[in-house]
Amino acid sequence: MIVSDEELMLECRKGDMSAFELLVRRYQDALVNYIYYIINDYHRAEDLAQETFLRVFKSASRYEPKASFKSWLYTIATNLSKNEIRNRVRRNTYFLEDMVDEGEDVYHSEFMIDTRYQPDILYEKKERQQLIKKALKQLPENQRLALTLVTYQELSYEEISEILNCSIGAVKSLIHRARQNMKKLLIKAGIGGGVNVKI
Amino acid sequence: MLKYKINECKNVQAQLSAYFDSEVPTWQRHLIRRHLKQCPDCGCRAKVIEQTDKLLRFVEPVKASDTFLSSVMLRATTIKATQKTHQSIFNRLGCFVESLQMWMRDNIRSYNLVYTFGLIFCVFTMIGVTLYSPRIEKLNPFTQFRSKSSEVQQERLISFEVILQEEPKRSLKIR
Ligand SMILES: [Zn+2]
Repeated sequence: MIVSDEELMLECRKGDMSAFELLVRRYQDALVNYIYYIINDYHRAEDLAQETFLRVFKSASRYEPKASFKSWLYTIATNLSKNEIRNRVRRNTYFLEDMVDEGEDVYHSEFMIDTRYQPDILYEKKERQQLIKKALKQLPENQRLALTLVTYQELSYEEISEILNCSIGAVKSLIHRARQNMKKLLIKAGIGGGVNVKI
Repeated sequence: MLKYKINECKNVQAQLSAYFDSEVPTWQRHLIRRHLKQCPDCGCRAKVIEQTDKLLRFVEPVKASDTFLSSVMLRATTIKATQKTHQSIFNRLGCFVESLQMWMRDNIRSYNLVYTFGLIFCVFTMIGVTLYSPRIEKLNPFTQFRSKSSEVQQERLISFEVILQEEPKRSLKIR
């Protein structure tokens, strides 16, 4: 039997550390991945994911299972990521990192092992991934957040509306526009040809 | 007929993304599916959405490092310990206030009288502070650096102190 997040959180409220550990285990990869897609810096993504979990832990005593735990967790992570981007823009380091995306090899070690005897394919794959990431980064903030949440975190529109604090209708149009823009950006980048429709 | 078709296409195209994410009601789902089979233009747009999604999923996900969990748990344990200490301090303070209230109830006949006195004292203190407020320059060390006159005054005070600390010369003449 799988214990729900909300039940685990209630256990955590009572001071059960193992319940909290289970929650961290459940969401650590997804959360690091989500923040990484938004801020594009693996080490900072880990820091912010840790901060997210610790904020959850700190407010566990006041936790009421009104909304879904997942939405709450992603709301905290989203706000932290937004702040990070804002701070970086203020420091002018965000756009600089656009050009120099380092540290890729380290975090795709499995991928490296699979294709190490086919350097051409590896290069192609890596380049393609870079282009997609770059295109994703060019989307307006809210569109990028909504698209990341629906594609990589597989959240429902209702959950996304809670996280982004807007209506389901707004989420619908955000994702719709995000996909349209994404297609344009991918075609511009030279990938995503195949089907050509005027959008 | 053509106008009707254009309208239908518009409606379907606006819903395509939600349809792809299974976020439309069942009745609408059937209608869209039927339309996509009949309309090549909308069918093509649906394919575009599918392809874009496929490309997005092409990006390999990253994972949390091996030390992530242990690091979070360590920090959480530290927070828990701090929270416990804080709680014990507040508990002690609460106990003290409670026992003080008990003592007051036991030893002072009219409990309301104490409150009245306390209130009067507070009001008078506030009035006093408002009327005879202390000089801010004296309280704030930074304001001293702003005015040169205060600096000079300070120097004078120091020199005065130095003069005072000198031994009186008259004591030599006593013999
Ligand atoms: Zn159509």
